[in-house]
Amino acid sequence: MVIGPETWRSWLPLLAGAGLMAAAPFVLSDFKVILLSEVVIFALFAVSYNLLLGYCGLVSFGHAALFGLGGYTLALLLAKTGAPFLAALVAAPVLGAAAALVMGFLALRLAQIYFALFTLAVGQIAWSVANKWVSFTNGDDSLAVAATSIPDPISSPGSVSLYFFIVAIVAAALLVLYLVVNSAFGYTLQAIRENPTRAEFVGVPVRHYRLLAFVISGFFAGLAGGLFAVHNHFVHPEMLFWLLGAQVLLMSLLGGVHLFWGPALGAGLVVYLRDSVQGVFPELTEKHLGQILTLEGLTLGAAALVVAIFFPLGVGGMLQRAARLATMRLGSRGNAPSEGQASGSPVLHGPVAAEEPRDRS
Amino acid sequence: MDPAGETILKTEGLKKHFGGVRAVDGVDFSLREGEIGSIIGPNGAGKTSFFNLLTGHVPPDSGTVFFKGEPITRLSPHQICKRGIGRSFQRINIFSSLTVFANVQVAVLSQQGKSLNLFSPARNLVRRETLQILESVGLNELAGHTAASLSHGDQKRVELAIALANNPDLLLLDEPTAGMSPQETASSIDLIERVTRERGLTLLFTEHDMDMVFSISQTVTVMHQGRIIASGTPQGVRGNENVQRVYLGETV
Amino acid sequence: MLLSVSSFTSCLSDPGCVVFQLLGGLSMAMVLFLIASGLSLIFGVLGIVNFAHGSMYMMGAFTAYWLVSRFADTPGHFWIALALAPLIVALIGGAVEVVLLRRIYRRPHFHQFLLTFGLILIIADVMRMSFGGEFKSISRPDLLSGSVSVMGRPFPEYNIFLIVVALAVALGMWLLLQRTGLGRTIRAAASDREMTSALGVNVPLLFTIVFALGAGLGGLAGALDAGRGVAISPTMDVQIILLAFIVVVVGGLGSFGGSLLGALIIAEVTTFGVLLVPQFALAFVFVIMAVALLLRPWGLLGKPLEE
Repeated sequence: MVIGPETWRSWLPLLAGAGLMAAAPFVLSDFKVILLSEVVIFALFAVSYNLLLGYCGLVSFGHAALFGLGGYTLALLLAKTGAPFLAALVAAPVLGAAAALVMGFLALRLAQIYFALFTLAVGQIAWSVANKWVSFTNGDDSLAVAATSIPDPISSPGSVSLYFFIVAIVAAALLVLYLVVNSAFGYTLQAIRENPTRAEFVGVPVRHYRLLAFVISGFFAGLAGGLFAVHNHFVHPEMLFWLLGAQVLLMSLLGGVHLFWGPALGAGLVVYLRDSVQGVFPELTEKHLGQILTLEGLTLGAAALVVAIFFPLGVGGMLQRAARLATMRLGSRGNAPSEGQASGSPVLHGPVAAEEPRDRS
Repeated sequence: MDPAGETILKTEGLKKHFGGVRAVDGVDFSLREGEIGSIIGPNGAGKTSFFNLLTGHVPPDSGTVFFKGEPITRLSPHQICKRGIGRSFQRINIFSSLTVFANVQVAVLSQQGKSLNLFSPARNLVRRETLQILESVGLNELAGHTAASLSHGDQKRVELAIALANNPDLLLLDEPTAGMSPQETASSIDLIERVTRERGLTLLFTEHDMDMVFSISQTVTVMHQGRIIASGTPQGVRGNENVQRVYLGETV
Repeated sequence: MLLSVSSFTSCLSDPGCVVFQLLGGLSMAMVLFLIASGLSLIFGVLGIVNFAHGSMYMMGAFTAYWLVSRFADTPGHFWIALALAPLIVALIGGAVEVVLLRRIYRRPHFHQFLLTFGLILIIADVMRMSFGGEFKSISRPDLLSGSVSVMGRPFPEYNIFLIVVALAVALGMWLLLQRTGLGRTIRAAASDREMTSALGVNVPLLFTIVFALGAGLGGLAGALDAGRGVAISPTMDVQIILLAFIVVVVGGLGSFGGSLLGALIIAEVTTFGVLLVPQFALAFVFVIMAVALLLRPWGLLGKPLEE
């Protein structure tokens, strides 16, 4: 049974991408490789977040807390208990999943905006703890991940081995997520998103399924956090702050929430946008305003506005549409309406805002 | 038509008040297996509320609902669905962004207990059963179309298909021909009657449109302000004075 | 130490301390009330959660700072700044509504979030561009620079002024909502949006007015707070929006009275909470928010969402 895109033509971008990723560390500078690693990690974070956002139609503002928790789990285990590296790396997603279970269990009782605000509150509680429990977490001074606690080939930042390590793990994680999203469970989640009342009355226990999605999402967010800790060699309370979660939401929407790979694209766009803006504006602002400003907020904000108003399908959605138009014009018959979801990308049209979960009295 | 069997659905003293409104005010109802029953009444009579009580979408204030002899009163909708009740809703309630095929497929997956399958690709799962259902309601041509793009009448057929996908013993249809043209109504009635007969279902529907009521319904129950005011054969009900008074001005 | 029980109880046993803390909390409450009422108003009528509301507050503070600096030589410059800053923010809010917000009302909620989040980012950077990243502050006007003795402790005159102004605005808003045609329209729109357009109300104009009004309230809060001498920085928006959310959750999204009640509760809890749990005071408030959502999400005076 073919699990990927249907036609061989659709495999091309995937293979091309893989090829580029493999060649990258030998072609790009060290700094760019580090940046690319960051993109890859955030791609995982964003795609796992999209399991809730695009596939379930749930907006969580506390997801950064799961990411940060994963990172802190790894850092704390390595720093305070001298645990073996692999154990710490496994613990990160496990704790992410556990925290997601608790957060989701409570949050899913609430409807719409209250769900979002609750996740915000819980996320901020977690951030406060990380920030203020200085004796345990070092608080604002950040907690270092010693290079000695990481096995040799991947212990130096910017090394090719570290890059491939991260890429390999993220690729495996994304494959698992892809399978989940295309499974019966994934289809059922989408049905829940479309119409929870109806889903309830085809025999689907809606709240339980949403909780499972939450836990899976938390698992991979925690993994991303752990990888981030390894990548950066430190963790900081900002990893749990709601703004980071908002940025991941931004990445997902920019890239396109109705596509599996949309958020990954969004992650790449945001990270690279931020990086290129670093170089462009400081000179200009220094000349005209007398101070050095990166203006990344302005750029990112403008991108957000443009996408919100003009490109609700996100950049990924636009690309997909363009590709379809191109293949149709080239005379090929395009995809005959397939029975089942559209080719490769199960999420069809823009996700509808989450409807309230059934109130069980 | 086959002679009706044992009681499949029964309610005793079912009550639901919303604030000051007595939506369902002490309803004793029963339906036998294999029967085709209908509930009629003016708007606000309590028909949809009654259905909501049956399917667990709304908990009753008092009273009991029995299905196949077992009480199902406080079960959640998804549990009730699993016991063998299928339902369509008054306003179209389908999975709009998904394809017609997927709409039914999700229901079949749930029916077969396969929804929790996390890793096997679902695209071609339960294909045969799904196509079978689509064929029985005449939607196989439209299988790949997005549900939202369909006409109103076709969307109602999707709704019916979803209800059938759960292999129900009892089918509850809430105003199945609402908003349809006379031709659509006629073909809808044919379809529903055929499907019911082929699968040996028990059918209970609510309606405004009397055509459907008089062409296929064996028993008619009339509700008014949350209560049953008459019940019996279509002809018997038509001749009932109370009913005529309630429907003053409407052709019964 | 996590709990400072001793300092907490010692303050509670001293009536002077209690009154002093209450008054201090009251000043904070008034600022929170102004912001929250703007947020609630916008949500109640437009149905949008304005995440950029903290930015309105921040713009109010920066605008006040700018006006004070610019008109430093004019007598009464502080009062001019205090009067003009909210108006300017209201105008900006109205412009934002007309140019940007209007296009996305019918979209799913995350597009609205994306838009307001984009605004947050842009406004913060514009402030940074115009005023730089360091903290700024205004000094209090000479008239109000002194303090009043409250049960033996000095309480700033400015804070009293702030409380009075905020209460006056609250009264004014109440009168507006209850006694004027505009107010009636606003209340009608808040309870049933679709009906209002059926009644022939110019809904787009109403929305613009309401958004501008809400923004103005946020700007006023910022200007008042700036006058108090708080540090004005491009990160003010993020800090205040969270508190604003907590207030509306506790008080009730969409309820004017709820904003007042919620602000009072949160401000006093924070003020006394800082005594009890100095390190985790902020976390404590989030715990309140989480618990409030679980128990009664529509707040003390709000209405449950329609099913």
